[in-house]
Amino acid sequence: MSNLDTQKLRHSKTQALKHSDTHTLKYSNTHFMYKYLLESVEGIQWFAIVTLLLFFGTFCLAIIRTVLTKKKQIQYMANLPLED
Amino acid sequence: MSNIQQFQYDNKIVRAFGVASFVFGVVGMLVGLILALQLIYPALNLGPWLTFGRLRPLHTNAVIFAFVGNGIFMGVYYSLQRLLKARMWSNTLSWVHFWGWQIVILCAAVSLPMGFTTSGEYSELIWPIDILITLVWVIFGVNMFGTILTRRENHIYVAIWFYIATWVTVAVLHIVRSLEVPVSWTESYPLFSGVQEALVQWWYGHNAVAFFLTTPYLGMMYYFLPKAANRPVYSYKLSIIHFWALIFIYIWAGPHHLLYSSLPDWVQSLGTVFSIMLIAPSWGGMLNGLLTLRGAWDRVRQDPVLKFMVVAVTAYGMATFEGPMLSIKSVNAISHFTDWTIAHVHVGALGWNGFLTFGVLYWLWPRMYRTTLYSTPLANMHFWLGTLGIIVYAVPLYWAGWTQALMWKEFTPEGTLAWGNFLDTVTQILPMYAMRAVGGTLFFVGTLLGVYNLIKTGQQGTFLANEPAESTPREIHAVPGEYWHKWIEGRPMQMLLWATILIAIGGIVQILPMVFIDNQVPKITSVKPYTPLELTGRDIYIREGCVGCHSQMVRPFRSETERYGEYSKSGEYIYDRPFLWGSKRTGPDLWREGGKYPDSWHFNHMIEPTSMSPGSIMPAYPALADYKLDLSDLPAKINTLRKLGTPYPRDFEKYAIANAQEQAQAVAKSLASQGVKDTGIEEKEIVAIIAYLQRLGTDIKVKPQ
Repeated sequence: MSNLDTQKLRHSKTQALKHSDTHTLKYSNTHFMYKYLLESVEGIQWFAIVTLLLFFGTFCLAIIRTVLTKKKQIQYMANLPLED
Repeated sequence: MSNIQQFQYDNKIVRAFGVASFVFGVVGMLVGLILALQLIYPALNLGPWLTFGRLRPLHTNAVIFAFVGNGIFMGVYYSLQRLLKARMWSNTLSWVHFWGWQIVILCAAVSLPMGFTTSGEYSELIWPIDILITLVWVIFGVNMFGTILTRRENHIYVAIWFYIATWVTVAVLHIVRSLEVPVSWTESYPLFSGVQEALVQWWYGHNAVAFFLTTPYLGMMYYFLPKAANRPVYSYKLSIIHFWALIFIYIWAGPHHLLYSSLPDWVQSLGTVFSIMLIAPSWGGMLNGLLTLRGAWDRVRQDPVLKFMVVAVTAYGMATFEGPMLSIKSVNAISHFTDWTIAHVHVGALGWNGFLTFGVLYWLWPRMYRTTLYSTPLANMHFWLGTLGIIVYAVPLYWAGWTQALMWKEFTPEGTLAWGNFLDTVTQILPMYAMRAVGGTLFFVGTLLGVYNLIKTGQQGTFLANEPAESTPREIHAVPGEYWHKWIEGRPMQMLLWATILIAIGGIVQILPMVFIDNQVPKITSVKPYTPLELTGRDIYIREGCVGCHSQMVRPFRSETERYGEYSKSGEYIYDRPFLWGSKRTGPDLWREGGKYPDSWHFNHMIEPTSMSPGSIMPAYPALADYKLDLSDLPAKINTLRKLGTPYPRDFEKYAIANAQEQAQAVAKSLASQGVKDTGIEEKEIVAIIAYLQRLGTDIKVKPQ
């Protein structure tokens, strides 16, 4: 199905859902609806993208920093509990 | 000139928290044991205060916040002082913290059996106690950060990172979860409703496990395990990566408690993905703990402290492998609402938290009392009783969970449910429940031996209240090239900031769209607010803790729609404050209960469950037919709910009581027509709860024309 058709279908289904009074019918397309609703929020995709970047960035930073830390420093830190 | 400063570590506060941890450990486990026995002998439900529904939150709160909570403070107050080479910042704050926390526990111990509850799991305490918790937590934070800022050691060991993350995250979780509007001193309605509240609840509930039961204990593992093994942690670098990965990923995993519920699919998937990723940091941490014992395994055979710690870390590994597995939707479809979950959490609570606490106590007591452990054989016996106890507890419950799930889902070749009577699936697993009680008893007896051993250890030694120590003051200077290194470790406030940002992201991404995008929960026109009488009945349902055994969430499986009816839609819950989806089905789901049975069935069933369902293990509630229906706070409830967005008509609060009385008369009349002719029944609580049960899930049922 082409993009246009998908959009059309999505649109018509949502319209039908909006005007439907019988909720049993209304909810037969729950997954479909949520997807549509999320897409209707402007910039919603940035939530996921920004999050992924933050997530990935944090890991990279933590790993780079840890790997680059000098061995002497690491040994000193690791021995802290043993010196009262 | 010598620059060495003399000072003293405060052992007294450590001992106080240690004693409190052990005492409340015994109390919490005893209540757990009573609950286990109530499931086999329902007559042990001594109503109204000591029924299963009211005692279950007492058990969970006692174990989490009293036993483990005091254990955390014991570990933090001991290790923080030594790692920072400084006494706690303020003796006064230490003791205000100690007594404040014990008052919180006391309030919980009184209010929960009285039926004062918000019904959110692990956040049951009513709003005045919530405020007290916040104050005590702030005092703890001020004392901890005061100590960190006045430290003599420049570097901050990884254990303290875990403590900082714990403090800030628990503060955020507690405040957001406790957003509620008071109706009276003991009642309140949550700010969010239905699906949104469910999401906030399990964002809180899961992270209470993460940041109360896990991160502070990992901090303790990173301090006490090297101490007990007398060698540094296997890989300090791994511990840093463990820390950052864990706190970031954990905060996202909450929705795995709501798989196949009415929560939007994307949030469920997010929860699953992050839960599975959690294996990596969790196992990194577990291996780091176990490998710390490299070359010292021979000592594990002799030293009960190391035995307890090894099993604790292993239990952590098992629970953190099982958790992600349970977060996979197809596995969760089997495990959820069954005893599998109960087995899972007890591997964590008894194994990880319990055994690490015991290990630390056995290590600390002889040191603080300047003596040796009173009896190593007794400690070994404690270890074996505890270990066997965990196995005998968990294995039958895994079995019970599987058995029940398979029975729920079994169909006959004709396409009907093989076990259409829910009770059949309960009586089938009662032998497993009995074995669980045996396991719990073993663990409990072991704990008592531990108490005895520690008391005797204290008696044979001399307590060192103030332990002398010395150190040079902290050097504050910038070394070229070490800027980035010091930027985080050397500056605890930046550490606090980063930890806050990281944990906030997870919460914001999940919760904000749910709260601010109105359409996330599609409205259903036929779903109406509860009537005043139903509302009163609902509050009785909450008071009695029915949610502990009955879910109100029909998942979209054929086995569930066949058994209960149409699966639940998110729009059906928009007036549910609090939401009552539940997380365990010891009894059947009740979301489509309305209209299933006549009023008289419910009446008789409440008075004596076995009269309607022979073999039922539900507690009897004869008192509901005696207690006078209290409608006096209905106007306040209606007002509060309207402020929160429930569309009650204008001035409805003025007619709410009359409306409730009218409906009560109608229920009484219907009961009379079905043979229940008790006089004055319309003024008793039982009519309210019947009205509520008969309303459940009926709003979207197609009514005959």
